[in-house]
Amino acid sequence: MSRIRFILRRLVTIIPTLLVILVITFFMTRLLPGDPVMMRMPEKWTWEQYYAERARLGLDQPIYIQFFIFVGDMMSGNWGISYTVAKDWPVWILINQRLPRSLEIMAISMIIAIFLGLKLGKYTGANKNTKKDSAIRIFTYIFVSMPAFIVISFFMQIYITTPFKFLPMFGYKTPGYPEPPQITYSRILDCLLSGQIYLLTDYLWHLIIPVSSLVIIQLVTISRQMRASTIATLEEDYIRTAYAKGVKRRQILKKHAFKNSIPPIIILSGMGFSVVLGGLIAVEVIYQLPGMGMLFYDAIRRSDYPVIIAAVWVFSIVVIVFNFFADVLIMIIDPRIRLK
Amino acid sequence: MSETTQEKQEELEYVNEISNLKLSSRFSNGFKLLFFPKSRLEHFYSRDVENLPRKKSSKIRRMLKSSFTFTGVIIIFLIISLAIFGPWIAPYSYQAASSRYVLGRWAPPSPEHLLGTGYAGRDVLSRIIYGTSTSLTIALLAVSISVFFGIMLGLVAGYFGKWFDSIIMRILDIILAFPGIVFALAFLAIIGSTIEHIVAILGVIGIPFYARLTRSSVLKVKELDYIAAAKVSGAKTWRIMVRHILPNSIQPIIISMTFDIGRLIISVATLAFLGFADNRYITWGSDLFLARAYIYEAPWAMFWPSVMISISVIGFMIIGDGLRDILDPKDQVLT
Repeated sequence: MSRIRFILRRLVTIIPTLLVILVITFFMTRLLPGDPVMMRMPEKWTWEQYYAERARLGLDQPIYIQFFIFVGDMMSGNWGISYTVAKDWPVWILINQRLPRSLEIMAISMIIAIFLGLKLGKYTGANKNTKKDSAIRIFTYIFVSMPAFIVISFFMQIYITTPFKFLPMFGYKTPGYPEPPQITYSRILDCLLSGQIYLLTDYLWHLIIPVSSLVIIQLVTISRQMRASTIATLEEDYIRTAYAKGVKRRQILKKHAFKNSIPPIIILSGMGFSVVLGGLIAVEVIYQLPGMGMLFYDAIRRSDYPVIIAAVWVFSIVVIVFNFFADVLIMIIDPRIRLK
Repeated sequence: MSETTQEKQEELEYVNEISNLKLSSRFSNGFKLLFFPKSRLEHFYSRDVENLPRKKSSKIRRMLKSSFTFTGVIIIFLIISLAIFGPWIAPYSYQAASSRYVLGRWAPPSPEHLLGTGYAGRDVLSRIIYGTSTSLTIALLAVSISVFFGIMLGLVAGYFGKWFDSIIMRILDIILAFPGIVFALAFLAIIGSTIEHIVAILGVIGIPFYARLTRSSVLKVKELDYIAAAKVSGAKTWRIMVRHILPNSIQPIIISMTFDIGRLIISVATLAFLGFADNRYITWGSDLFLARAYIYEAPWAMFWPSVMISISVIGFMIIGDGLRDILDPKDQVLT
């Protein structure tokens, strides 16, 4: 029961968050250069036409009514028509095509990064101040300090200078291969649903380098936090009690320490999600994968304002959903939170 | 006989250890007492701790730790001197390094161009030297904006509390959770990417963090007796806030400022890498942006700016860690 109440309460707190995001994006639309009415005018225009068009767009209303209209549009997916990226296409369709691609890349890289990062962090935290720990720490220190795109550019330089170029670097498919039928727009699911396994393996083959660079970006932060968290947990009293009872070290690390050092990681990774998004944009742009990041980049480079605003809105919703699930996960792991 | 030699040896070891300790912490303690008079108390406590039998931790590690911080200081010193004395060090003039005219091709390192040439035949070495000052300036200005407004908001929210506090903190929390880089990119795409806009947007994005930090320490201090004493003696509200509460929250702010300068260098470079830099100035990120398309033909043009970015960021991170060790020993867990 308390679980359901916790989830409901958490859902209610999303409303002010959405409101703030809407205000910021509305502010963005107000800052846009140029007169939106004038852009829709034909060569020869009259003031009557101008006012009629202005009334049709709702720009003659007071500002709070415009805000309500804007909120309705954002909520209902009525995000306008793209100017330049894909001329005259509804933005909704563009984002519907691109978002699943990004989500699948993110999901794969996150799962790998969390798995490896927790292992690595547990290992270094349990063996702190040994030589291996120091070596791994220096490695993570260097990678934490470097922005995503520099990690990627070093990757590329290594790739270019070594003679073994068996992995593909750019693009998401071998040239000449067909696209699978677009059912869910997520390429992995599409390939599976249509039964074209060779397309799937080809896609995954192309994803190795992009996903591994995204993994490295996330792995270092997760393992650093996990190390700190494990060290902190191992100093708790109940660990000492477990030692005193004669529980073996392996068991303590596995059963007692591991689970209790996870909640801070989830909280911190919720906060670090924005870094991951920045990394995602860089990865998609550099490796030329058509996802949300690529769409957003194209839109900002070519001043496609409806796409920019819709993308900011969608990114925000992704973050909100991610944070929500992180909180629910913490609640499942750490029952103390439910009692608050 | 044997007992006395052993005693002597022990004493010697002890003296050694103490002197080592003094060497590594003399600078830091002096620094601390100079800027944070409050920490004198802590200093006395730590003296008591020093006299206790210390846990054996390997000397190499301790030395490494201090020399690690030392490396960071040297890196930052070099970077800052590059930023200040750049025009005298750089082999080519600013005009030549930022020229729009084609001076040559992408050429590998040669005696004339020590690190090769980049876009339009500009000298890579000169460009990374001139880029230093731009990057540092943007980072410092943006940090000062976010620190200034963050402290103001945090002080006001923490001190007055009630609905004002909850509304401000609610909004700031929401902004804090959001991908700053996405919002920055969107705003820059809409209003144009001049240096002022970059500084302003990056500064505004940093505000919530400092506001939270200030507020939390204000809440810790607010109910203490000396604040009540100040109130009774008739001090004005702003005086209490600035003179009595602020000094208590300055330590964590200084630590995070150091980290944030590094983080902002990254942000500025990321923005520039995605094509949002002020074209009037030379920055590391815009060099990367130009070199990206030619990574096969001219890897050196991309390599050196990214090395500069990484080194300076690592330098600031190391200093941040060192400062945290000195100022805030409790918080060491999160490194």
